[in-house]
Amino acid sequence: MNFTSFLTKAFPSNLISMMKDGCILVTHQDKERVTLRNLSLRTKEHMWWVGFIAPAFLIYTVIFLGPVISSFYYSMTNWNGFTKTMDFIGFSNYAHMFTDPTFMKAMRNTFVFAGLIVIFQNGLAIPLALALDSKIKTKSLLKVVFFAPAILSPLVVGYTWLYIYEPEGMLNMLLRAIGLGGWEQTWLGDPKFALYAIVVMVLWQYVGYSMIIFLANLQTIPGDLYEAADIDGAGGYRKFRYITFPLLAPSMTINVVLASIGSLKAFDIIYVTTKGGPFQATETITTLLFTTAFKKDNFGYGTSMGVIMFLIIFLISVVQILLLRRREVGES
Amino acid sequence: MRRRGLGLLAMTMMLVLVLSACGGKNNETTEASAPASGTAPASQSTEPSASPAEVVELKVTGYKSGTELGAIPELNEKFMKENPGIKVKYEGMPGGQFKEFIKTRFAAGDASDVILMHPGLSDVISYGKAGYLLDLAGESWISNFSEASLKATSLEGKTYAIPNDMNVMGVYYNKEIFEKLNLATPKNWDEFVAAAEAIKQSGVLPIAIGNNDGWMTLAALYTVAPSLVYGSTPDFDTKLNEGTATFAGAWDDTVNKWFSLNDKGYLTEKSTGVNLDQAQKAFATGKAAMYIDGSWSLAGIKKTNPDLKLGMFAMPSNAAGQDVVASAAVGTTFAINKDTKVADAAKKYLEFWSQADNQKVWAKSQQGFMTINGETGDIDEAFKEIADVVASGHSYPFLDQGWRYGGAATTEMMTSAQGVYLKVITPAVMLENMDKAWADAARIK
Repeated sequence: MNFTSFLTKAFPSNLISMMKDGCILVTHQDKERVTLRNLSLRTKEHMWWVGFIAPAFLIYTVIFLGPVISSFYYSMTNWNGFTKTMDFIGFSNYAHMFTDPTFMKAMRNTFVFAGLIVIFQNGLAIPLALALDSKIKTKSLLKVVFFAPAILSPLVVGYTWLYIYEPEGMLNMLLRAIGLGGWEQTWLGDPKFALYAIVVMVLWQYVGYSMIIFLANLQTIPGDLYEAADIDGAGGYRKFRYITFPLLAPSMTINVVLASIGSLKAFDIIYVTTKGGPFQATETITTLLFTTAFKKDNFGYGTSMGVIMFLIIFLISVVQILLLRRREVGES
Repeated sequence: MRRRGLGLLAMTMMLVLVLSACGGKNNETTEASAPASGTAPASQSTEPSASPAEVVELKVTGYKSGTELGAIPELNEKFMKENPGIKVKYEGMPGGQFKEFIKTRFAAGDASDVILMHPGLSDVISYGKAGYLLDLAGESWISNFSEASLKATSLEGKTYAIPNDMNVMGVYYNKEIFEKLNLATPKNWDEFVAAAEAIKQSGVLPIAIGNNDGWMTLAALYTVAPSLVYGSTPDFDTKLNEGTATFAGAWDDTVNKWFSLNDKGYLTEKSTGVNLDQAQKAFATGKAAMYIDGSWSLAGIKKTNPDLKLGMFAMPSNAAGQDVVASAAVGTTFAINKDTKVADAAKKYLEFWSQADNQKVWAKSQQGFMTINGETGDIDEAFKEIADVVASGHSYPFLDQGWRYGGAATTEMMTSAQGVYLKVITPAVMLENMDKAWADAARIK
C-alpha cells in the first residue's frame, strides 16, 4: 500500500484533487513568484480551503505535534518535571529501561493485558453480532444494552466494578449465595487475579462496541451467498467458516487495530482500580510512566517510556493493518 | 467576494471558540463574591476612589475544595472587606491530582499568585530552590510562626511559605472497646501488642487498615519510625540526603515490628484488596478497635458514626521507659509565586493569614493544631492525649518532609509494602527496594 493509495482510501476524491491543486499552487508561487492577484482564476477558486485547514493545522501543531516532538527531547534528559534546568544525557534513559526489572514487568503485563483483550473482545463480539443479526424480537433493545457500557467513561466503569470486586462486594456475595463461598477472592487485591479482573472490566465495556462494528459488516454480506450455500448443502458451521468469517475481514481489521491500540494505552481504568498494584501485578507501561514521571519526579525517564510505547503501538498497528488487509476481499 | 468575507469571519470565530475552550479551566472555581448583606455597595458608594481600575485581582490556588474548603471562603471575604482594593479569586481542586497539576502549572509559567502547597523538602522547598517562589524570610510577620513549624518551609536561611496548621498522625482508638476490655492507653510497644492481643481474643479486629494503594502502611510507618529510627539517629534524614545512610540498616526494626502485627493477625486480612474508606468505616462502625491515620480524617469518621467515642494516642513504638514520640507536621502552607505581578497584594494576603485570629479560624476548620507562637487553639476532645505529647516537645515531622527524594522513596515504600503483605518479598527486601529507588532518583540529579 503506497501513500497515494492510502490517501485515495482515506479521503474522498474531490478532496484529493483539491489537495493536488494546492501543491500546484505552491509550486507556482515558488517558481514564478507570482502574487495572489496574478494567479489563474482556477487556482484562485481553490484558495479557500487553505484558509479552512490553516486554523486546524495551527492548533494541531501547537497542542499536538509540538509536545510530541519535544517529548523526544525530554526523553534524553534528566528533567524532574519542574526545575528550570536539565541535563542532556543522550540515550541513557533508554539503556536503563531495559535493565529495569520493573519496566520489564510492566511491559509483560501490558502485552498480556492487550493480548487477552484483543482475543476475547473480538472472540465474544462475533457470536454476539451473529446472535443479534438473527430474528430475535428484542434485537434493537439488546443492541442498546450491549453497546451502552461503551459510552461510559472508564472512570465510571472503574468505580462501578470496584463495588463488584471489593471483598464484601457483589461478586463475592453472589458466589456465597450460590454456594460457592470457597471461591471468594479479594479480586483486585490478589496479584493472581487483579490483571484478569481488569481485563474482564474492559471486555464488559467494549465487547458491545466491537459487536456493533461486526453487526454493520454482517448486514453488508449478500443473502444470496447463503442461499447458494444452502443449495450446496452447507451446514451452519461451514457457512460461517467459508462465507461469514472471511467476509467479516474488513471489520476484523478495524476491531483488532482499535482494540490493540486501546488496550495498549489503557491507563484510567487501571489507575482508578489498582493504581498498578498490588505489588505491580497490574503495572502497565502507562501506569509506570505516570508513577515515574509524576510520583517519583523522574520526568525524563517517564517520557522515554512514553516514546517506547509510541514506537510499540506504531509498529503493532502497521503490522496488523498490513497483515489483516491481505485477508480482505473485494478491495481494489 | 462577500461569500469569502463571510467564510473568513466564520473561520475566525471558530478559531476563537476553539482557543477559548482550550483556555477554559476545568477546575472548580470558587469566586469569592462580595457579601450579600449590602455592605459592599454601601462601601463602594462612600468610597468613590475604589474605582474598578484600582482593584487588583489576586489569584489563589489550593488543594482544598468541596467539603475540605474549611474556612477559606470565610477568611477570603474577611480579607476583602479589610482590603477593598484586592479581589481574591480562589481556585480549589481535589488533593489527589494537585501535585501533578501545580507541577505543570509552574513548568508552563502559569501558576497563580498565591499557592497552597505541601510542606517539606521534596515539595514547597524544592519549588523554592528551583526559583519559583518568593523568599519571605525578611517579612516582619514571619516571626509570628513557631520555629518548629517554619522548618517545614525553610532552607538555608530562606523561607518559602507560611505554615498554616499542624496535623498529627497517630492511632485512633474506640474508647468503648478499650474500656470494656479494661485497657489503658498503651505507653510502649509491649503494652500496645498486649492490647492488640486482648482485642483479638475478644473477637474484634484490633487494627483496620486498607492497602489497596499502600498509603495506610506509609502512614503507619511514619508513626512507628520516629521513636525507633530518629531516637537513636536524630540526623538520619541528613545522612540519607548525603548518601551516607540507607534505609536498610536503619529501618529494620521499624518494618519488622510493624509487619509482625500482620503476622499475628492484628491487621485487616488481605488488606491489599481493601481501601482506606472501607478501613475507616470498619473502625467507625466498631468492627475494629484501632485505626491509624491523620487528624484530618476525624471529620469523616464522625460523619460515618456521630456517636462513636474515640480518641487518638501517639504510636507507642518505643521500649518501656522511653518517651513516646508523636508524628506531627505542618499541613498546609501558603507560598507566593516569584513571577506574580501583584506581589504587594500577595504579601498582604499572607500577612493576613499570619495573624493569630485568622489562623485560629483556619486551624479549627481543619481540625488542626496551631502554628502561631503561644497559641493552642481549639483542639477536639479526641486529640487531647496526643496533643499533650506534642506539647511536651516529643514530636517529629512526617518523615518524607526531610527527604530529598521523598517522592521516589515513598512511592516505592507503598508498592513494596503490598509485596510484604502478599508474602512476595520480606521486609528486608522492601528496604533494599527503597534504597534502590532512592539511588535511582539520585542518579538523575
